[in-house]
Amino acid sequence: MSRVRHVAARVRRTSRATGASQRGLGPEVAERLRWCVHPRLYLAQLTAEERAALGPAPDIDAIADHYLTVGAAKGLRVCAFFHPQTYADRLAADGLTVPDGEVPFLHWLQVGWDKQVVPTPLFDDAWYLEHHPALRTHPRWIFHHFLTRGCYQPQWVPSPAGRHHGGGPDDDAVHRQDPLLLPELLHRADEHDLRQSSWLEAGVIAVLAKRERVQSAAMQEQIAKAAELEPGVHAPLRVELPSIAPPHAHLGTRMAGELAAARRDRSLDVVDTVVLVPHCRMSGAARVAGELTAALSAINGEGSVAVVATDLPVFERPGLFPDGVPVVDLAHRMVGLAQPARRDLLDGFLRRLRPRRIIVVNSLLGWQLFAEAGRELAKVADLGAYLFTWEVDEHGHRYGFPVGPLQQSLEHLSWVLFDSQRLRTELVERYLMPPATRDRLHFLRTPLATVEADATGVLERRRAAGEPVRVLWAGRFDRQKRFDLVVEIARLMPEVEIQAWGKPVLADVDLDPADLPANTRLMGVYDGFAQLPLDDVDLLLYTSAWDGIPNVVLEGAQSGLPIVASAVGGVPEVIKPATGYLVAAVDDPAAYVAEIRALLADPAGAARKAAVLRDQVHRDFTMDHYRAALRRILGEGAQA
Amino acid sequence: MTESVTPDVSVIVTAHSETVVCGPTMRSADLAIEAARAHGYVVETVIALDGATDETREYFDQQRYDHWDRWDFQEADLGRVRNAAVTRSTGRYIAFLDADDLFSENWLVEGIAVLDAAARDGRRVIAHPELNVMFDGGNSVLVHIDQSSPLFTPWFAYLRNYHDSLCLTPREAHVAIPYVSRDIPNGLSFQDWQFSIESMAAGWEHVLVRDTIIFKRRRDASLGQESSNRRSIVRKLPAMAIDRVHDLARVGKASETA
Repeated sequence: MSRVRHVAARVRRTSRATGASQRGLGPEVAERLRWCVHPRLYLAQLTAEERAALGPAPDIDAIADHYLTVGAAKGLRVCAFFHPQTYADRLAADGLTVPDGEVPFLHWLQVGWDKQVVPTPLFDDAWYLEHHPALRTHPRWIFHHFLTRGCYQPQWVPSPAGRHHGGGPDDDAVHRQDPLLLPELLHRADEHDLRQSSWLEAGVIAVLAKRERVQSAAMQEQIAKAAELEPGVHAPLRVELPSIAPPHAHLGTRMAGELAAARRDRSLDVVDTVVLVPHCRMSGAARVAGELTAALSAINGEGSVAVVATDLPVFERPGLFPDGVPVVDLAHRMVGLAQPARRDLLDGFLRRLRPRRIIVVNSLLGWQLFAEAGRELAKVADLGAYLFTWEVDEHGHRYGFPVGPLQQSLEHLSWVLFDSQRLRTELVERYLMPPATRDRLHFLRTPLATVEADATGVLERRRAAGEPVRVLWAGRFDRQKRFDLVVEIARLMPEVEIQAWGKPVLADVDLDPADLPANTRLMGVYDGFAQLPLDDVDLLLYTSAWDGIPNVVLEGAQSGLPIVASAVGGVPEVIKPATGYLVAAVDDPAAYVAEIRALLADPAGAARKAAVLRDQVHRDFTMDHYRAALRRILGEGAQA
Repeated sequence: MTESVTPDVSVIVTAHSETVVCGPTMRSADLAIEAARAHGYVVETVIALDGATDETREYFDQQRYDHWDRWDFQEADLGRVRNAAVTRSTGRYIAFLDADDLFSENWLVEGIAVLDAAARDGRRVIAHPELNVMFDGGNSVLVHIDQSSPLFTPWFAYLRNYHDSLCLTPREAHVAIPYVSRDIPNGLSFQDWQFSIESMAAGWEHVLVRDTIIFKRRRDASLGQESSNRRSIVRKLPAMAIDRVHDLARVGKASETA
């Protein structure tokens, strides 16, 4: 039985059970039901136990099933666009009522739908058609367009009371059946009986009533008198123009509420330093943000630092940040908000925390805030930033934080930190920086991760034992990391096995595992370098097209693995002829093969280089050095 | 021309560089004043000229405005000129009017009645029109929300001014909470917004007067930017501190959880 037919059957059974209808419900009604299911609204009305029983992410059919078996009888609402009182009122206007014992929503699906009764104050069919004339050819009832498409796309304004949401797009909303106005509908949910109404619906009803007041005889008399004096006053009173939104629908109200809730979530009052990050997933920048946060906490004391994620509601690796440092997922609270609301919300949030210092570590929203409001913000806090690398687009053009964002913000920044000397030098030269500006740019060696891995001697042992050559590659399967080169290298060296760890993060390359050479093995995601089988590999291969000083190279060096690496970004600051095998022709697979063969031809020599490198990074890339340098830059003196 | 007994209301029109747009403004004011006087109210009528341009001075020097007192100021600041005019005026209530906006004819009659009724009940009330009709570039209707509305939320005051400056206000409110000066270094002016917040914080209740309208002329293309700049200043007001804002203007409602 298909899911739709299954649901239809449940509708029939439940309709009989609830007395909703004496006749059975067909697939057509079941389909209507599926269009109407809005999981987030429904789940918000369930108890924690009921939600847990439905699992972490119940699909549309599961919600429909639950509604029919449990929710309908309890009067729960499964559809954001069914407002019981509105339906009753509009049905009464047609001389009809919902028969006793029937569930109003199911009655609407069976009866009201066919009579084209709009059961919500949030949608005005005449308004919708008038303002979106292209929809006049829509083959179905126009409410169907809004229900299945319009409510998931920001350009469709459904009523004279406005858009009802912040205006930001959410490409996945239609798949989740999560109308863009749901955050507003669930705003202050604890003050409303969601089975009947919501903050948004109460507000819209009030606004529509206010609009009707414009048409009252008393108002019209006053308007007419004013218009005799000033003809221009007639212009705004065309009824098709939306009212300027009062608080119920003004996105600022939601922003302020989210702002307060974000602080409440983490019991944040005032913090000394805020670190702005885009998200937290597999990336070297995330680790550096963690090390920076730990260092700042050590310098200024526990409770002095907060981390705020601003761009994507993804926080996969909270362990990168020290215990006790509050991490605020502001991105989650900004879903559906467009600019400049996002920037303003971050601005407001930061001002409430009254930090002495704000540091951007790859947060796009943070850079935007610095560019657009940096002058004002710099009056109340020191602004700082961390830079790692520029990006390169598919045409080979450079872009990213060291380009536009830095240009627009640099005058407001107290200092900029770099994880490689190379990028700092390049920017100083590119922008012809005077000494005063140059002095605000600082290279800091990122401290090594605290891992115990030690691969010293592994290469010589494995070569002496004649084991098959095994190459380690680890990172994101993204365009920057040039996994395509790895595939070519594998084809040129069929005698070698390449173990590739990681996953696609940006999804900017096509990777078909079925197309890989047999000697290339995808090993899956890893959580930290120490988790990799360093005793079973001979060398680390690094192929990125651009970077700072990459984390994976540092960790390979730290463990004592021999390294073959592309000479990009800050890599040559670590991998040199005396410490490893540097590939200058970074786009040429054969150049990598040549260096790998040179390494394998002299295991003792490769081991010596790895040992020198290991000593070097353990000496230079220490937390003590990092914190001392950071203290100097921040003007915090020598003491913690 | 000021009447000899204590006025019920002082109508104060503030002008700086406006000329012919004042025609409809002054006609609307005269109609509202005439209606108020017909109800027995005593009205003081003042044109407050603040650093007026030659053209503005010439415009208001017309004989047709001789029934208005013309007061000259050199404050170069809307907040300060309002404060100065309040000090010099004598009405129990103050009704400001910007020189390019319009009253509805019933504004003074209905507004004074609401304030008098509130005073009899011992309530400290500031009255606002039910609607703001924006015209001449604005093309919209602003529906006012009063503090007792279930739609009222103090958080909104971070983003926008709930209340227009063209209110009807007991003199003591303006005396106790004078308008602040323009923020000179930043070139900003947000006096009405601050007055709105600080008066609510001081316990004044902002109410709507049914069937009344203020007609606001909107020509400022940079309004959005100015509004954005104002928002950043509003956040600095003590009453808007994140741990205090939930207590702002909670009339007859439980405090919102902060």
